[in-house]
Amino acid sequence: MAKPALINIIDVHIPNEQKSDDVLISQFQGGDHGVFRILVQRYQEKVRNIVFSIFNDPDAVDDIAQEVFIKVYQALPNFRFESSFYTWVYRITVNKCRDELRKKKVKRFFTFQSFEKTTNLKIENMATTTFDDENLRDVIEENLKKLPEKFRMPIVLKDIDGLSYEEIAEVLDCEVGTVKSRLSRGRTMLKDLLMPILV
Amino acid sequence: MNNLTTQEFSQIVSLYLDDRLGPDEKRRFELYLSEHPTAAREVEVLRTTQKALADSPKVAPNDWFWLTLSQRLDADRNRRSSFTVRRPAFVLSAVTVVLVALIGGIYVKDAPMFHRFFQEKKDQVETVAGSLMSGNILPLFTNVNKDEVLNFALFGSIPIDSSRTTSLQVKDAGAQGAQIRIVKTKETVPPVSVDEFAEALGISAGQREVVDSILGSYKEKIQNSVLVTDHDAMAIHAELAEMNRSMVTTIAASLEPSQRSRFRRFLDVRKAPYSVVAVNTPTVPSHILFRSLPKVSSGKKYVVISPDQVQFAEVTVDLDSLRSHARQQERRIREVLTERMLAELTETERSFAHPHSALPDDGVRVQATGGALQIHFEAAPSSPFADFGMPELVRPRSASSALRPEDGAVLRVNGDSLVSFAMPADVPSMRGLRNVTGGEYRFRVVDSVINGQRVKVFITAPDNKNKLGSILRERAAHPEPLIDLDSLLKESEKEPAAVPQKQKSGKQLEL
Repeated sequence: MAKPALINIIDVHIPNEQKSDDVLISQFQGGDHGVFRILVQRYQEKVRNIVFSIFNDPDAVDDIAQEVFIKVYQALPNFRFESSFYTWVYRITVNKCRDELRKKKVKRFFTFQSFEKTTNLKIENMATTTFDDENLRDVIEENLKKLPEKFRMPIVLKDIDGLSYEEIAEVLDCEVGTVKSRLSRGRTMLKDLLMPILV
Repeated sequence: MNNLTTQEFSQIVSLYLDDRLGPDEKRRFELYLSEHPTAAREVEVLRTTQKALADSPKVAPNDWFWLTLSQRLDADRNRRSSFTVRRPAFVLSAVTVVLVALIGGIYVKDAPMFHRFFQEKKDQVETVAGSLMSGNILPLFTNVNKDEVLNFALFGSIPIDSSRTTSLQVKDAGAQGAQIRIVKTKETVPPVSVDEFAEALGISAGQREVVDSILGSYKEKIQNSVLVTDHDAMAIHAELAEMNRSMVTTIAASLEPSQRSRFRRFLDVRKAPYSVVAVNTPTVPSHILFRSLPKVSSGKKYVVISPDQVQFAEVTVDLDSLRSHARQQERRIREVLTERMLAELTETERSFAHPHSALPDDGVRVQATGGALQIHFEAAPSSPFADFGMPELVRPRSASSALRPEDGAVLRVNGDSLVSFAMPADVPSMRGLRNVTGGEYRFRVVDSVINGQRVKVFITAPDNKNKLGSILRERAAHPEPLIDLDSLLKESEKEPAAVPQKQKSGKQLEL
């Protein structure tokens, strides 16, 4: 998508806080780096939450989210308005999280055997327990972590962050069909893990 | 819908959950589910899962996120710039040689065009230099001490002459905005020294260092905030109006709750214009405090008032060298300048009929009456910690007592390039202003050099040239003599009475 011509016309009547992302980015590219703060404030909670939903570790959130924004700051002069700033930031966030996952060598924590053991233990423990919302979420998130990253990421983006198929495709740099297929396979895997516990 | 394979089922159910099936497909799938209870249970598990994930708790907001991020960005920038410096010098030299050759080639090729460009720039600069801030520029405050800064913070007043009879005052009226006044006054509150202040609040040596740093930082800012010229113009930094509240808030933020309580009593007893309203808020760590301190170089926008015009200008000057120059002249000459300028700016009653209700929300009103100059900023001063979500620590005591809705020339600034200048047609006869009609003037920034100082000013854009341009042309046709500072000093030494008397007419004072 070409850069809208109107972006070049910076309306001085509108406070920066009310300007669109594209106008603020134009200002940034024109040397007004102060507007970066507004962009950060607009998206910091979204970025922090996506990091949180991937790592589920509050202590890691701010460090990773800040590295995302440092990357955004460095890359913003070359932003070409070909996607929305929103999905572009998401893409950087997801890529950063993938790097972190790789760095920390976070892999599936459980082999199938140990997973089976744990699940059985849980079933025994929970056999007489009705799930409240919090317990239910814990169980689901714990099992979500067991999915391979390529199936987990679309579920996080769709079901936790509420992105559309098209946005997920843009963020993950793949086709919409791939998103549908990964979502379908990921959900089936998650369902298979949860059925013995929840039904 | 016939029996589905596992793969078909998983694809359809995923689309079904995301509401991506067409109406017919959806109806058929729901029929299938009604006939296959196991499949329906699976869908229910998936739906429960989806809902639970959507309701996942969010991570707690972090109010300090931007602060720590900006520190990391600064560090990152510094690291990158130091890396650049370490690059081999020959690479830079080669680039320079290529650039010089390239520009030289272009210049030779397009010499007439470049000549025209520079001539036009020169003309613009001369027009501007002859109209706005011509003559010598001096900072009004050259050597403010920390006691004076503290008193300005606490009581909103700072003397501008050695006899302490003329002072610059800031009146903060909360949401109603703030006023800067230059008035003849008698001091009613005995000044407080920083030592007395520290003792009264019982602050530790470490805290004293923090308070000293706060005052030192604002001292620089104050010294940069008011410029005067020997052409009877005065430039006041727009941020001066909110500096008091910032200072008192920052000092209050550095204190512990018990000390803040003492600070409140301290202000109450002296009937200071501010009151501490949040005593028990935790002490703000010094690294946060220092981030909130004003950057000396930040913001260059001044309200420029001359006998003829009110303008909003971006002024970039080397204040260190100006201050050094002014210190050599010392206070005497500044007082002469100030007196003369005030007389010139305030001698005519400038009370322009302008209904208060019609004033713009973000306007700056300038009014001169009764020998005083008054600038009213309609925007409310902001707290230095507003961006960090801190509760309000300090509030103006008399916010309820409205600022006097004096009428005056209204300068409204929208962003960087649009200035509205409201002036009714029945303006009393004043030099220059008689040609100014109310309306909107578009400005753009032009760099110029006046007395060796770089000054950036806004000039009218071509589409509005006719309005302000006519004034500039008239002034260019009738240039007024610039006054040499040395001769001014000699004059004042020769004849102490040379401190100007107020004139009855609007004519320029001659020394």
